[in-house]
Amino acid sequence: MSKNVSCEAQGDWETRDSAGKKLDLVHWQNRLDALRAKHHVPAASLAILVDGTVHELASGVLHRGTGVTATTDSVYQMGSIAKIYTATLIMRLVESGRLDLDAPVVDVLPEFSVADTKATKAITMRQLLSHTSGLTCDFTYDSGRGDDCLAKYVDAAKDVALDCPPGTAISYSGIGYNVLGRIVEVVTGQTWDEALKDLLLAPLGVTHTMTLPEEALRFRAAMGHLGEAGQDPEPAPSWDLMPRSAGPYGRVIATAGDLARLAQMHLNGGVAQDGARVLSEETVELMQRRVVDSPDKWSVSADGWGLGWTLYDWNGIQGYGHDGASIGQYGYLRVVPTAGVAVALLTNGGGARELYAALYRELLAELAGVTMPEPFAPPAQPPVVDFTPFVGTYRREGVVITVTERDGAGHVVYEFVDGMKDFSEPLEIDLVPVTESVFAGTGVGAAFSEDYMPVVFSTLEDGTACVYIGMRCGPKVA
Amino acid sequence: MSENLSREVSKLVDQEVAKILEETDRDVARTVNRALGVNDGAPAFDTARWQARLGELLAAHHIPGATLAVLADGEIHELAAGVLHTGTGVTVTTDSVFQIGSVSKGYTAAMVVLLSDAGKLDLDAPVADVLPDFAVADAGATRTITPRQLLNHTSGIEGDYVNDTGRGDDCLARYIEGVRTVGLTNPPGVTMSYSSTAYNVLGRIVEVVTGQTWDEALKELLLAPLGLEHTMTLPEEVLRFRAAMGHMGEPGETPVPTPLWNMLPRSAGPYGGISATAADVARFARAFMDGGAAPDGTRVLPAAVVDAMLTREVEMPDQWFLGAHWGLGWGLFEWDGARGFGHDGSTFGQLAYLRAIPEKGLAIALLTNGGGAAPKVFETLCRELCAELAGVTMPGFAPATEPLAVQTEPFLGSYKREGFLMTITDGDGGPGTLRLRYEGADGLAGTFDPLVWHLTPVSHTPAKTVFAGRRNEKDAWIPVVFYALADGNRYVHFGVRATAKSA
Repeated sequence: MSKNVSCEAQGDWETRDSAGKKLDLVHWQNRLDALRAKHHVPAASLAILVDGTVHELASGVLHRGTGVTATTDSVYQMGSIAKIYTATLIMRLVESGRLDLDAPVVDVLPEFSVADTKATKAITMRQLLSHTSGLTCDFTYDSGRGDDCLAKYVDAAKDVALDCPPGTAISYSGIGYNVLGRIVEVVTGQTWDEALKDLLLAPLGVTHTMTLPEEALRFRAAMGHLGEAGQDPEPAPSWDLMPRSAGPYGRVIATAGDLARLAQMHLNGGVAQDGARVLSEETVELMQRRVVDSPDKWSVSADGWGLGWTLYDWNGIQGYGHDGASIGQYGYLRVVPTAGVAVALLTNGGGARELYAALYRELLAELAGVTMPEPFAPPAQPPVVDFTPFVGTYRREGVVITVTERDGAGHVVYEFVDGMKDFSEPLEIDLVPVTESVFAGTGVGAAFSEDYMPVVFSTLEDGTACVYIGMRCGPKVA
Repeated sequence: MSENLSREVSKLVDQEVAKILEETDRDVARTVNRALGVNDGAPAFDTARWQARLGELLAAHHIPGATLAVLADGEIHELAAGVLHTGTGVTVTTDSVFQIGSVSKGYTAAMVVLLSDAGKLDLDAPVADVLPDFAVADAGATRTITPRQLLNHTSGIEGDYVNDTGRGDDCLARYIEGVRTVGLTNPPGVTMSYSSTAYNVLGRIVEVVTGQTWDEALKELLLAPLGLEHTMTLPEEVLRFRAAMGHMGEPGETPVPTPLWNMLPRSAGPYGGISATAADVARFARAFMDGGAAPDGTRVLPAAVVDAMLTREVEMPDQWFLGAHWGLGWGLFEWDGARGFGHDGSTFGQLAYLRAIPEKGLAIALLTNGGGAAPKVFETLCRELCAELAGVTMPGFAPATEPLAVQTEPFLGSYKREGFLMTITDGDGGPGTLRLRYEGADGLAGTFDPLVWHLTPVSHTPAKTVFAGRRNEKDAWIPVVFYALADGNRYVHFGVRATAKSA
């Protein structure tokens, strides 16, 4: 059966993309199936918003142990894509006059504090939303399953260190989003989960988006899988490897279709599928406006950050979106406003990033004329770089990064210390130059990136040297 | 040539005869062994046949899905049929997990009796000794109620106190605070009245004695030692498995999925919050059958614990709901001279059943995900399995075949307990029949449409009068027992709960 015949046979499936071409769902189902299998991803759900319609495809099995097949109404853990939900929720409250983006966080959350008193008084919600507060990222604290989990988390996060001074640079921060989640609770008098339902999910009209495991049990739910690159992964030891307090930065569960419907609201200037206004056009635009450039343009493909959104620049075509990872489940959202296109991909493990890279390269080229960058890698002939200026010790909360030169090549020891010391053995990373300040790290597993881990040397506003690894900023201390 | 041929033929005939004799011997031996309750190691369980029967019964009674585990001939046989969720269409497998509801009480009881056996608490000392925060609305009862009374359902604590105290680890501690306002159905120790509230008090006792949450203690004291890897309490644990969704519907109707996966809060744990596969429930029952030893021979439940839990503690006013007696945790029955134990469970959408007859080496665990006729499916299956595999006839419960002259006047009137009002009037089925109207009262007033049961006499003695009740002809008959205590107070026993006559 040819593609055209089968596409016509699908009737309602037939639609046109922004360029007037038909969206060939049979073709994309075949690509999803083939690439998913090739990259050992057990299951994937793909939602394509084009021409005002969300099309949903599914492939694979939700759990290699139970063999339950993936359907388009299956739900996945979306990891950090939750930050877009929390950011949108905060912006609803800002619009209604209940919050001021530029007022200090302590105005609304007096118990908020970081190790630096001056910074405690200075940090604003705008900085938290754009990852420019300087707050460190990786403070995981299990404060229980109860409704008080965020209050306890924020309390436990008191006096947490900064990666860099507020407002000086981007440093991706999960803690910042939990502080925002707690602000939502304080302002609304509800739990973050309830506020999310009332203030965002209900107006959006989405029915397959949730935060708690007991809610996910109503649906086919994906299990995360873990394993070595290039092999079929095995089910993770438990469904849920993050505490409830990871909610605002990392725990929204949804179908790919529902994620695309959130994007649709942003794409439609703040109007939900049923015509209800969720955000003003000005707010939607503000969230997409660049607050900060990202020196590391490769870890999550970011050129910069807006309020919540990761911003992309594909040879002049602007886009926004977010990546998400919970242990064993990985999600990707990309929106191309000029083409009216959004693509959401949710997966449950394996070579998810390779699947994303290959599938989105094809999809966005065809639907939005976007040329995605090649996978991050050193050139065939790496430039010769004087490595001496980079040698030294860099430090951020829980991590010491020691940069040395060995036989003319850069080497990094990435060591977890203090509260993070049980997280992993030190990582040994060899650096291959890509440009004068960007290096491709080798020897690290696929958890971080495709094949090479970007290691980017930069400077803060005040001139302090720093290194970015995994979107986290580590200033030079010696 | 012909001699050779005839020799060959006679050899073949001999072989066939020998084979038939051997099979007959095996059948006879198996039957004898079964009758004696001895395991001869032969796979007598006809999986294909019971699989067909399970599927047939589910279809006939509109049950979306079920799993059945049968311990027979020393082995646990696992069957599954139907779908876990009519909305998703995911099929039931034997490793699918269901909510077992009040069967959980057997687990909580086992923990408490284990801790008592280890000298960590005294079953006969006041609850307040081990749980100083414990109080009910009646100050006298607060001082006297014992863990034993909580275990055998004679504490008198109103049974159906539900309080959503959140998802946190403090949910039971907070639940116990709320119990201060809960009243009594009867003075402690005078009669059996099924109490879920009492089992939450037991759950909290486990927490205080072990210093763990009830969930953690369950893992450490029972699940890990017994190797029950498909038994759990929290939804995030259930998500690792195929999991059943509850469904609601009257008998004869196609049930629909419940609005939530779990209609009960986390604080319902000790009385009804366990999820498991049918096989794991059967394995748990088995721990009470081999004198408390796990399959590998390690003893998890000391013989004293098993004995204590299977000893008849109270005689039931209603002897048919499960059995004529209750022990510590388990309902105890005697069918056809064979003693057994078990429990039912219901979570508003999932219905679970366990019956075990240790002396016959038989245990049956049936887990279903809804449909009003699940009790009928269980009764049918259990009756057939008991007869075939253990030669035990399960008694039935039905109105007297001959008309019974019963004076109904003493029973007429109102029976009230917290949240519920029962009104007994003369029935329209002729002399001796009654009508039972069941409605919400107090906080539950108007929360559900009143239900009406039509009662027909079964038996009558001066001490108690038994009726069989049903709402309509599709319902199974259930016992409704009117009785008076030594102090002269009149009660009705309905749904295993005692309710005093109030007017």
